[in-house]
Amino acid sequence: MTSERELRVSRMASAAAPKSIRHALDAFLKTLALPDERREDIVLAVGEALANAAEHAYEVRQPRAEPGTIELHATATPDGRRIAIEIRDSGCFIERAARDDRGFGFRIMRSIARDVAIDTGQGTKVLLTFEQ
Amino acid sequence: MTEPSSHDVVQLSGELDIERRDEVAAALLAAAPPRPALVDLSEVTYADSTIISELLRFRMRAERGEQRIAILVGTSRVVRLLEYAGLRDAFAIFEDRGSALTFLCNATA
Repeated sequence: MTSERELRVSRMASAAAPKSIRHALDAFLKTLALPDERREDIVLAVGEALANAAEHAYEVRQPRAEPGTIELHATATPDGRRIAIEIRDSGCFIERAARDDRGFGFRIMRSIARDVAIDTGQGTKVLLTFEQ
Repeated sequence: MTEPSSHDVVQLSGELDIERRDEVAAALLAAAPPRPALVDLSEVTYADSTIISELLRFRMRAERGEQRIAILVGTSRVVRLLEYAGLRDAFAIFEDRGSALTFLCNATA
């Protein structure tokens, strides 16, 4: 039995962080047996979660507080049939209605992922599950 | 066929995400009504809802100013983004420049 593959990435929260993490995820997904469009869509869904973290996660922090981190943890079966990706930050969750522009991010995530779970206990954790 | 007397072109390329939001907003702002505008996304390799926000603002301003706008795409990536957001029909999208310019031309005829 082949074991699951795994990726862990952590970056300081900033506007540049999503791009860096997306690139790492894209490289990881390229090691799986995924069609290009499917890989691009997964990167898009995760990119939305990363953008949300970078944009909203630190709005309520003290102005002089140190920026937190954005962490990604991905696990996948080697054939890419099941992929789970967790995006975690230490900010405050804000989900906006879809008619408010940024709310489209969650609509996009839900269109692509099989499941979207949001945990706002300590910071924000978004778990995206993809299945073929 | 009448060629557009003038139209603006907003050329964007590469990865359009939160890091480039201000740049995208400024580029779209420069294409002011009422001249028709082509938003050329054919060289875009990634785009997310950050860009949707800017495109929607652009569209609202265009509607107020009776400006016709067209979006030119290269791959299906941008189209899929709009479909997932439920906005596929919110914009005039073209896969070839000629059709996009004809669309804009008809706006000025």
